Amino acid sequence: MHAYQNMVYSTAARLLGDPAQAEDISQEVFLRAYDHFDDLQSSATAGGWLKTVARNLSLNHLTRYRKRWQFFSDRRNEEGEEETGPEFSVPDSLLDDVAAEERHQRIELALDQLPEHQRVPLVLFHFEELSYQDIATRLRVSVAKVKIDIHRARTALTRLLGSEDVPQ
Amino acid sequence: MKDTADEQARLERTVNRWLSGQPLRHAPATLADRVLAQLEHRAALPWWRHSFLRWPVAARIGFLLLAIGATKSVLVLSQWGITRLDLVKASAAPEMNWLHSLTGVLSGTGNLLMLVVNSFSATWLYGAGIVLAALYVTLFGLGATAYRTLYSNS
Repeated sequence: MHAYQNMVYSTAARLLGDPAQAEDISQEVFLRAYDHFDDLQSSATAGGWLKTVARNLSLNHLTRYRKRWQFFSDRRNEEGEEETGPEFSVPDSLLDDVAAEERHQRIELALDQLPEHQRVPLVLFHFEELSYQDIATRLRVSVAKVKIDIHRARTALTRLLGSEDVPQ
Repeated sequence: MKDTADEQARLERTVNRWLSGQPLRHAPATLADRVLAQLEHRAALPWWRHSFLRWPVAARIGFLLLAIGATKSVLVLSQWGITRLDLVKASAAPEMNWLHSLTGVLSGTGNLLMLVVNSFSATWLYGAGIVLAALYVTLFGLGATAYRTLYSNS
């Protein structure tokens, strides 16, 4: 368990954006792993199994609030309130002069500040390495919406990291 | 247009560089204790509080026999009740028309159900049970095979 707990917790925490919920999901993952202990103890893919279960449980947890989330997301898109502003040019040197540990911390904090409908596809793309199509299927939205949300998430993340909004 | 596409590609590369370099977050120190406590709590539960598949085989067989017996009893009692309804209807006062209507509807529905049930021979019922069990096992097997095939490498 100790070998995988950070991986499982990271997967849940980045998707959910909430440490308490991530701990609950992580607990459930390891309880399920205990039920499959005979299969997993000699399996070379135990880590992949745990990561997949953590991802699925996290997404299922979010799905319970999906209708409310989609309602507000779609409303914002329709009303044009979620514009990301003019195109934002990323300075090449952004974060280059920041110490590694502080950079890691600032990135995690910025991730948690992203709205759910941007953070989830971004995490699935960059951390879980799912394709746009897989993300669209999993979130039951169009591929176009996934691409737009991920692009907006990248822009928002860059803005947050370039501003003073992220606690340092 | 090309500038925008280039800018988006550069943004994707930059964000990917940042995120792929991120170390794992540290799980709370309480996580392991919570899992162990939950496992101990589950282990302390009596067998009948666990899921049906974790029950002892004898208990599972007993439960199934009990369920079949209960179903049979309900059918027999229903049939008995229907015959009693006719007696109630016959003994009711003529001015209680609503009772006549009610017993008529209940009796008709019951008779129809019993007619349907009785029209199946025992061979048919046993056959249907075997077919349902075979379908369940086949579906379960296909599902497990598909899951292992699709997700074993993920």
